[in-house]
Amino acid sequence: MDRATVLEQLKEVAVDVLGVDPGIVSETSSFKDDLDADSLDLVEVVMALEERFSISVPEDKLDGITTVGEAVDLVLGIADPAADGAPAAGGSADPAADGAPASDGETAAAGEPAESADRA
Amino acid sequence: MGGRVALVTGASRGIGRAVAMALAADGHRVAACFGSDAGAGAETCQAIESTGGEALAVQVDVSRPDSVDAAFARVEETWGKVEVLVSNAGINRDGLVMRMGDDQWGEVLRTNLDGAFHLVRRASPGMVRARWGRIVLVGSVVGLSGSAGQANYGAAKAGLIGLTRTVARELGSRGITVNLVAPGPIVTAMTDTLSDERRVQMTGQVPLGRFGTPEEVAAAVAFLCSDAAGYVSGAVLPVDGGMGMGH
Repeated sequence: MDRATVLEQLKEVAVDVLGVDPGIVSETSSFKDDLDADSLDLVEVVMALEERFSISVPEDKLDGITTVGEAVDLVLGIADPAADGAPAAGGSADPAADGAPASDGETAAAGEPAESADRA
Repeated sequence: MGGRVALVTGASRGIGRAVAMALAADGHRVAACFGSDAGAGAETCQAIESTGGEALAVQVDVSRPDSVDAAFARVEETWGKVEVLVSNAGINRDGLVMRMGDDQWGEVLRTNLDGAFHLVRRASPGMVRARWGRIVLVGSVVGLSGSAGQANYGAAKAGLIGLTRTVARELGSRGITVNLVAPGPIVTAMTDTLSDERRVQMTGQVPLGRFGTPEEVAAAVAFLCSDAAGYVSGAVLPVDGGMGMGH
């Protein structure tokens, strides 16, 4: 899963859940200030992302997420644990990420088989 | 009024059955949830259908999140998202605190309090999405006044008030109302087992001088589930013949 894909999906979610114009959603958009989202909206966004990416976002990971870019990092970090901390690596980190779930597969278990099939 | 998808727990008998029938009479499609008595659940549905309503009998163990999830999934497949939730399923295992076992305490808390939490949590996302919802929890006069021999039951029912008011605040901005109905002594299977002496004593504490009927509780629940009650939220509505006045 690359960054552009996650951002695109997040934009769709923002449009759907928050009713905003897709044009105003960028990595630097603040959910609260730019997209007018309250705490319930954010929960809805997270739940929609969990559904789309077949991931589970732990509550403690939500603290400090204020921008769209940070949310993208969060999704990438959970879906591809090996990419955590290197959010801008994009496609180049994927080969490493592919091998990682064997040792740290729990959080990605649901989404991983489909991902591997896509790349194969 | 009407035309919503409603889910009522404990609908196989007593207050729950009366609520299911009252909501159906208001035109709602009603998922009548039962814990173990499938025959009684089916009877509730037959009673609704015989008067031209739509009903679905669904088994659920409210103390288990996976069971609650499965019940909601079944209703969603059939009719769509639940718009009206009435958490009514409850049990009692009475005994004095000094002799109350951990399992006796825990079982009542799990069904009466955890169960309501599981239901509310599962119902909320759909209601938030729809920007409309009605949640009614069935509490008890015991949750406010206490009742010797019912520490577990009273604690659970008091907990429901905190749950009601918290969720009312959390979801209010999405057009969702959350209220609690607090029945006094009602003629149900739960009170059938009371001794005559206790029954007389309890009746003496009720200004109206009698036990209430499930239908009288159901009428209050149905009101809170209606469009007409759109500006009532976080309320604790006693249906107790005046028994708990002042608390």
